[in-house]
Amino acid sequence: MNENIFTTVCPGCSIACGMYVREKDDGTFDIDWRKDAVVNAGKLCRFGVRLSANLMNATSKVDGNEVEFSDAVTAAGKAISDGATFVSVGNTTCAEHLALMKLAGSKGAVVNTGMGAFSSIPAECHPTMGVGIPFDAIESAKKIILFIDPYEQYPLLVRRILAAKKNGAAVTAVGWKAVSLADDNKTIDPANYESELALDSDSVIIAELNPSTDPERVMVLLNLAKASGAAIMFMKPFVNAVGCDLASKKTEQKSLDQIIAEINDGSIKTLVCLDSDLIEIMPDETAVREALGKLDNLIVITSRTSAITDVAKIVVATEPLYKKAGTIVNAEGRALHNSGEGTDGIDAIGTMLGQPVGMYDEVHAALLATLGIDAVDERVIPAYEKPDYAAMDANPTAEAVETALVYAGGPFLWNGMVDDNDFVEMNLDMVLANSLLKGIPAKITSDAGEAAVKFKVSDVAPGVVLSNVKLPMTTGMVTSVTVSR
Amino acid sequence: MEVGDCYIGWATDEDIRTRGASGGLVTAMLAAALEKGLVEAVVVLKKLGEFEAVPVVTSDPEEVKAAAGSMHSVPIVLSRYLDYGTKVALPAKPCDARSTIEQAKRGQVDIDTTYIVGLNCGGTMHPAVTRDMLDVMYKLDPADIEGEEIDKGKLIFETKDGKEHAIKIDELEEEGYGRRESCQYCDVNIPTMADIACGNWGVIGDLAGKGTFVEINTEKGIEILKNAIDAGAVEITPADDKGKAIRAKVDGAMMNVAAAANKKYLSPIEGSHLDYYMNALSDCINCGACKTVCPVCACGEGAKCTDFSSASDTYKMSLFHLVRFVHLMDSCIGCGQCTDVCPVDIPLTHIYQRFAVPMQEEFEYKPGMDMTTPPFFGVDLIEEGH
Amino acid sequence: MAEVTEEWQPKIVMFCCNWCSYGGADSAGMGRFQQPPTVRVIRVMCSGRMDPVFILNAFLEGADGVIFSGCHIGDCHYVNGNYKATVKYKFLKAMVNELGLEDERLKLDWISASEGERYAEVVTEFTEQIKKVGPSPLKPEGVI
Ligand SMILES: Cc1cc2nc3c(=O)[nH]c(=O)nc-3n(C[C@H](O)[C@H](O)[C@H](O)COP(=O)(O)OP(=O)(O)OC[C@H]3O[C@@H](n4cnc5c(N)ncnc54)[C@H](O)[C@@H]3O)c2cc1C
Ligand code: SF4
Ligand code: FES
Repeated sequence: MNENIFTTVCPGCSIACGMYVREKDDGTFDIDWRKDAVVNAGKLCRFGVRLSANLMNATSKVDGNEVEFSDAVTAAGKAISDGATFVSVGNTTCAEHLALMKLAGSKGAVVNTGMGAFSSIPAECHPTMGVGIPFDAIESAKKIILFIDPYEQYPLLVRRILAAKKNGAAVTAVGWKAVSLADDNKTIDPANYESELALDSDSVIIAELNPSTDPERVMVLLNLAKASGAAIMFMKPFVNAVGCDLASKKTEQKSLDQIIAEINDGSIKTLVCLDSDLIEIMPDETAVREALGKLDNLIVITSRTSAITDVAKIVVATEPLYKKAGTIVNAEGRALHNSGEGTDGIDAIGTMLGQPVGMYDEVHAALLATLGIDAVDERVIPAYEKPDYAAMDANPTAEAVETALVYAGGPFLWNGMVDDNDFVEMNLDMVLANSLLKGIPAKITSDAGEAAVKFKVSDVAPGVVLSNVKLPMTTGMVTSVTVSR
Repeated sequence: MEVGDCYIGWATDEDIRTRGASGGLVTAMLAAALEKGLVEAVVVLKKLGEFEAVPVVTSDPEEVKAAAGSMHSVPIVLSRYLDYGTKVALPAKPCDARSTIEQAKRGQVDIDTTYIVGLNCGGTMHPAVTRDMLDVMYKLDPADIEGEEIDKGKLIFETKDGKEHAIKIDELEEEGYGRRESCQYCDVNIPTMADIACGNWGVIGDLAGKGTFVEINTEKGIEILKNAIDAGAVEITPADDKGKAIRAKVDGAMMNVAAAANKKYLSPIEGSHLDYYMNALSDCINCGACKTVCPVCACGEGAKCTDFSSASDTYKMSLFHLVRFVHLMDSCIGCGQCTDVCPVDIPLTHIYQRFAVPMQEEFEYKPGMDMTTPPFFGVDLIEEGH
Repeated sequence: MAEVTEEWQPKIVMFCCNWCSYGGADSAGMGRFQQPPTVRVIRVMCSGRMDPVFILNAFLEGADGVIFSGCHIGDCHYVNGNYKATVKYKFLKAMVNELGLEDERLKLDWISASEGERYAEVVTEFTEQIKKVGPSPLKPEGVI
């Protein structure tokens, strides 16, 4: 009887809570609480707690048939041609991401992290959009403005915000749904953020940046931070989104929507995805599946079985994240090192590049150089420079629909997690107006389809049907729908 | 050797004896149990750092030997790692031992094949609190710490330069550091429910610091100690009356301190109880971690608390918690695991204790102290007078 | 929370065991004993079947009061189901009290199949009692 213990982070979102993975003799694994973890003292949200039930290892495949790892690597190496497009949103280590960048570079391409906002916002803003502030700093803020729902989207921020409140912070939430820990829940026109929120340099703004975020919204928030001197933190749904962004050449990147459009118009024929499942990440699943079907080559290098591994031409299966040698950079900019020593992913990419050995050391050194540190120490956050930037002209699109199905992303669904949040939320007026009855699901209809969905009465903005999971009729972050019994 | 006997014992292996917390007896006993085939596996802490360790189930005596020493900043309950049917031994603080017994009552642990090697315990600290405390109270860098020890009411840290830094535990706790709240009011220091109870209290004279005081509580206790003596791994000498008296006296003093802490922390809620509880639970994110780590819960998947509640409930309080409040009234041992893991920092142990303590007192039932079944389990018709 | 008006009728959930109390409810009806229309009866096989979950759930769903009743001590169809009910009741009472829900909202009573009149009395008295304490603070929004 023997157990292997891996010290690692939860792969759920950019908070990167510390955890242990306990692997048994039979290869099954379980998570355990790492109470000495610098990020959140081992506390985990429901995603982290259920990780072992939700992570399924990948198997290598070519044309739908299971093959040996090395055969998949060879096949992938041949299939990745010049002109291929690369995506890695940050669900894996910096080492693998950097290795992929090297591979992409050899084909004259870049690795897209999918965060489209980066390519449409001036480069001097990128450091502010990328690295946030230490979580401890949230606790000492005087004023916190939430553009996220911490309970649903980033649960491990809740304790930080509660601690801040204990220290006297005032919390205002600007969102779709009233957040119970906020002293004040508001709906504000973006044009009035500055005047209504009255922030200063002791304030902290917490928002989200994901592949579907409207760049104009990001600009509005950057303007708000600049004008008030408030600190701003963009949470991301991928564990290593920050690390990958730091490593990447952002300005040359395409958004995921752009990539899908280019697949549809025939200009992208080969797509390489490193631990990035576009079907799960993007809101309109049907559209993504259709587009992926048009590719000549869909090559997926991944540690887990997910929707995209079913449709890929080649799957190169690597070890799960907790076993990988390598570093993750979380939303604070903190570098966290796995205790695992696996190098499947690095070896695979190295072999494709004709460099089967020595790749890890090379890319790890490159990472340290990027971060400006000699060694990874989880208790010390590397110093990041955040240059000043000019205020921008921003006009976020207002969603003018009568009844809006709002898909509020969170750490769970970007990873396609099955969870018990399979319901929508709406306010009591909406329930009464549509004669919905307790216990009977609501029928929600859009152009893309309809489904009966459980509902919950919550303090949600009028006209909003809020969902934390993608529903069959979801076509975007906001979908126009009708609700009936 | 008989049940009730007290000895001072130590590991014959010098390395184990020096690395062990007092005499290395526990480590030597656990390793010998594996080596001689008395058990198939041992649960021990795998040390990963000065303030971190994780329980592992192992058949490797070397792993057991590597675990020698007490870790006061590792507040983990080991009983959760036991598998029914495996012949196993575990070192057990009173909460480890009590929860093992509660699991046995619920058919999750076979008490006959489980050797509970008790450790006296004066309390554990949360590692995050320990780090803060080192910084604020000791003005030390946690990275410089090389060892820690509790002696005469003082918490002593040893730094890499060989220096010792001591502060009174009372003083630390007044400032909000020190032991976890649940440990402060826990009133079981000597694991009388374990097969054998080991500690450093009562080791005096020349042997102080080099021997472990053991009290034999059961036949199994005799078996595991004899096994180690036969293997040549352990030597013992009878404990003298003075040592026994000192041990009892310290134990009594600690119990009084715990009783005072209990009064302080669990004093009646002022104002509306309902508001207090609704407010306390309003941040719950339904992760279920509190139930997963609960060492006395034997429900597993598909438990009443989870099956009857859902994230889509619009109740004013979560049914999950209400069910657990009742459920734990007769079994909560106040180990503090739920509070430790709660991602939104709800003081759960404190809350469970508020419900549990009055009922446990009314039924004169203290969970985990012996194999007596809890009041919920059955109805004793004779006791009811019918 | 609903206003306490003169017309306010509490919602009471009553769990009756199949063999005695449910019969009691029947007898009350047959005997035409006056009783307020406040009670929703749920039949369980035995008072010993009462799970704390049922009672907590009734409160969370908006019940203003809950009664659970079974055969008189000694008469349980399953020998000692009602002793078990007594133990659970003790726990639940302690729980309800610590929780800060009014003590009056939970009641245990023994009613036999022939005690139609007593059944009506219990219901009437309990209704009056609940009217005095008012709507339950646990009643969910939108539930009347
Ligand atoms: C947190 C703690 C508090 C204690 N307080 C007291 C006290 O107040 N008075 C007293 O007389 N004795 C106390 N002890 C017991 C004492 O420190 C020794 O463990 C005991 O004397 C046995 O010594 P040893 O050298 O034989 O054990 P060792 O040979 O050092 O073996 C110790 C065993 O305990 C395990 N262990 C270490 N830390 C923990 C932990 N946190 N939880 C569970 N298992 C652990 C190790 O894995 C190892 O197997 C305490 C022990 C602990 C762990
Ligand atoms: S651990 Fe905390 S958040 Fe998770 S279910 Fe328990 S109380 Fe709720
Ligand atoms: S059958 Fe009536 S109480 Fe058991």
